[in-house]
Amino acid sequence: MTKGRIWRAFDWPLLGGTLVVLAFGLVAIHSATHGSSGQADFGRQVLNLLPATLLMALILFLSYQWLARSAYFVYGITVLLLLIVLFAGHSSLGAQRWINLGFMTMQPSEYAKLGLIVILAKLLSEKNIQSPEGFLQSLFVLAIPAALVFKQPDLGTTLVFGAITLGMFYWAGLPVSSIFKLMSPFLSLLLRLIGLPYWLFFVVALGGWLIWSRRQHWGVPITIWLGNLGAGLMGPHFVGLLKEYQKKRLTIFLNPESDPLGAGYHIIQSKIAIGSGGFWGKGLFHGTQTQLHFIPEQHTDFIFSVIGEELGFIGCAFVILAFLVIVLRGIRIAENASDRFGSLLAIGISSMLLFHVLVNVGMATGIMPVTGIPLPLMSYGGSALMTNLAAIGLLESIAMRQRKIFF
Amino acid sequence: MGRRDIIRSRLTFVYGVLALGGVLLMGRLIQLQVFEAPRLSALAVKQRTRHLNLSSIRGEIVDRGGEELAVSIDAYSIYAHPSEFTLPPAEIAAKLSPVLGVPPRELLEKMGGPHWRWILRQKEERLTKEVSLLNLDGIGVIKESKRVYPKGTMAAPLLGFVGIDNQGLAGIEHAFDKVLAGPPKKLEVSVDAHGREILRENTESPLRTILTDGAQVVLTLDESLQHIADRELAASIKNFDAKRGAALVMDPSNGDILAFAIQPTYDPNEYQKADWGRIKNWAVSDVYEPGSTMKLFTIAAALEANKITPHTLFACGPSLTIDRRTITDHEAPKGIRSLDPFSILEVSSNIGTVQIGMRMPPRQHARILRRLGFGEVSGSRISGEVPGSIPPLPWRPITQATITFGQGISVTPLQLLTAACAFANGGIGVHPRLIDKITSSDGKVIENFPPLSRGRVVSSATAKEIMAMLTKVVETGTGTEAAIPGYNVAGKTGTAQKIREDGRGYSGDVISSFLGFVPATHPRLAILTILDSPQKIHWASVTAAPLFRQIAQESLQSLGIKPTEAIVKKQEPPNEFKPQAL
Repeated sequence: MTKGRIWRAFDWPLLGGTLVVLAFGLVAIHSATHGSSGQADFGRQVLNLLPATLLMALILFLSYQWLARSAYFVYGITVLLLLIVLFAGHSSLGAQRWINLGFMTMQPSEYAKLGLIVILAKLLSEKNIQSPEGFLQSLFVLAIPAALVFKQPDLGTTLVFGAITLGMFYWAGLPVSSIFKLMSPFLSLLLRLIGLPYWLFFVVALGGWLIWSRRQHWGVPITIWLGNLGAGLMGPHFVGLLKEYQKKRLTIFLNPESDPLGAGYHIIQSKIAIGSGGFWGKGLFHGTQTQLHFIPEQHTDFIFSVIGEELGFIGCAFVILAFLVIVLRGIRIAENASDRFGSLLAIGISSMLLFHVLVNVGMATGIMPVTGIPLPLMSYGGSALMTNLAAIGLLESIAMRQRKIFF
Repeated sequence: MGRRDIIRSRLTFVYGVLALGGVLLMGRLIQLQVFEAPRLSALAVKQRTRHLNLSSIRGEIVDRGGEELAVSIDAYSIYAHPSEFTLPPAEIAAKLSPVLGVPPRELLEKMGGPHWRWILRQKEERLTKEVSLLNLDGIGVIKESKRVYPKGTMAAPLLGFVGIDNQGLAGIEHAFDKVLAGPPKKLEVSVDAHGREILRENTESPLRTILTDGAQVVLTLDESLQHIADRELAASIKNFDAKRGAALVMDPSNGDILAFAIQPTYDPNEYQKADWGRIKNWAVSDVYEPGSTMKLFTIAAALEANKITPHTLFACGPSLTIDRRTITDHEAPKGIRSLDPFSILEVSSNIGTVQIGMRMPPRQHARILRRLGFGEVSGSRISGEVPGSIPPLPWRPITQATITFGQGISVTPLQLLTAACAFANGGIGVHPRLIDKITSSDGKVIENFPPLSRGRVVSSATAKEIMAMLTKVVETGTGTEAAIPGYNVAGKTGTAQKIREDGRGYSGDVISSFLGFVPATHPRLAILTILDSPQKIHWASVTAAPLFRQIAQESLQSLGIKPTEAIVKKQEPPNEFKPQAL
């Protein structure tokens, strides 16, 4: 490939969307923090942009195929960092998520998302997902970082891992029915928690469906059915594994008014901020909810409420549109990638970004549980910024080496 | 199926998921930002808006010359906000204790609980610096306004006092609380999530708003006269070992109260330490039987009713029996005297007064008394005033008889003095006036309280006769001790037995009083002096009358009222007391 050809394949809309979201993010962080104790965070985020952009550029120029060769190494580093967090991590706000490097802290669970995408892309590009070997190996590489992150505890990132895996499994060719079977124990658990009759009906119906759709042997359907039975029966016990605040955070969005000064406070205030912004917004730096600090730590997970309040529906729609462009380009790149590894890489990144946006904006608007998932490229946080810009760099790298023929 | 085909089949689903997500988020945003925007905006406004009660600077109370009787000064109060503490409360208490001079245990008690509380109220500015030097989180100082009475005890029962939160609790402070405190002021401010107030950019500074609050109340009192009355009254009480006393000075021409002394009294700066008995303004809230001072009203009423002339003679024996009760005169000669109203008043004869009074039908007698202002509240705007009482008609003969010399009728000191002013004023009655006007802090008059006339209550002839008789009382009768060289004085003594506390008959104690005017020809001052239960000497002629003289003499000087006649050699003071009245 000539240099010229590479640049002709460069995905400008993807970069455009990225820059728009980054700009909105910086403005929102500034608005949420200026004149308050978090004031320095704006400067820090601007500083973080420097290495993050460099990292993006580096990845962009290196061929992503290099990653395929060092996928196990990348995965090993990822797991190692998570182990360091587990044993020597720095705690804050009740969770041990950070490694203190002295001059800065680093959050390995952010980088781990990319690590997982890389290793799954490697595995799934070489092995058949429908073969027991490929399937089980994939689940195994997911399980290690997922368990380590869940232990921190960081339920949100664990769910992101799940979303990435599902997206990549589907893209790799796992049938919807298999994905359903894979997910069914979680559904079983959820229904058991909602109510015993629902669960009993589900388990019976699942059993019937498994018998009806049986192909070769009984082993797999029986395992699945028993898994569902077990998940349901053990449901209350699994819930016990969650910390009290996690349980409350997960369910409070259904009725935040039940604890308006406690668990429901963030959701209520965020909804008030976004709703009171109305169609046109209150104007930049004129959002009362934002400027009077009604939303604690607003510049991290609840950054979207700044946009909602100060820039209104117009601003929100613009941001969501920019994200939509990014994800759409990601899917496009996955579609046109020159190899299976690149395609899976792109779909993994797209899944990650989509899940982040859906859950974060859903949380800020009160239709999804509070899981502590940041808004990509907007929320304050150095590790997340590095990860997301690296991911964009990867997408561009794949795009620039796609198979499309230019005339 | 090749990889391309797999990808193509999967794309539909992937785009479907993407579209679903987009629709979900956009739909939710439209719901919140379009349909629920009004409700959520209202919530946002509500939670950031607070209405602050502004503490205002209470208006002053001043005398007729602008002399300050009650003022507000800056004071500094220290509070604790335990939720902001960064040190253990015990440590904070230990550090604060030496500065505030309060034991640590007491401070700890006040800092208990999570909520904002005062620790020490209304102290001097010095404490502010010392407390801020300690640099303790959760301990702060707020500037407040504190009520101070620069003249101490002066006119305390009249002025009343103010509670720590600026609410008038007694006297004028209570009666004019709303005026002095100013209208309740609320300031709308934005608060942040921690409840910290952020003033609106274009609102006035709250401090400036405060300064225009609280109107000034201007009294008719004259601080110099008040001082004289207080001092002389206190001296007399001590001298005659009385339980308590009052001295009221009034301008008879318009009813202006110039001095209103009650002793013993209290210091409103430290009202918490005062007995309730001293806080009470008993010169308006308690009634007493006036005794012989009532006689001039009896004679005036009979003159008005045309039942007597000033020269009608009455045969006065040693005693008079009515309804099987015997009425006597004090130190009366054995035989029958022939006395005209002048002499009857001069020697304060009960028997003569009863004969004069009983010439009137009771209905007429009562009507004239009511016209003079007895049995009704005077309209002075002094809080706690009671109307006194005239016994309800029909009267038995003995009822009317005792009323003529001031028993069986109850009056307040203020009422008695006010009623008498009609005689000094040519027959025109007055209402007592204590409040002159209410002005704003910049001197603009908000409300005037002009003198109120009762209109003509007795004829000018009657008024003139009464003044002549009262002048004679001081010249040659029981009131000689009230005489002031250079001025002619008109007045009447009264020595009334006190009703026993249980209401059964009379106790051994008396209320000695003197009601007088000076100068008698053109009265400028009407003064009533009262000594309650003087132990050394009972007789008003030697207790209340000299007190009148001392107050009147100094007040005349203070007001610069020139003597009306050359100072003549004072008459020989009587060597023996001639107490006549009961």
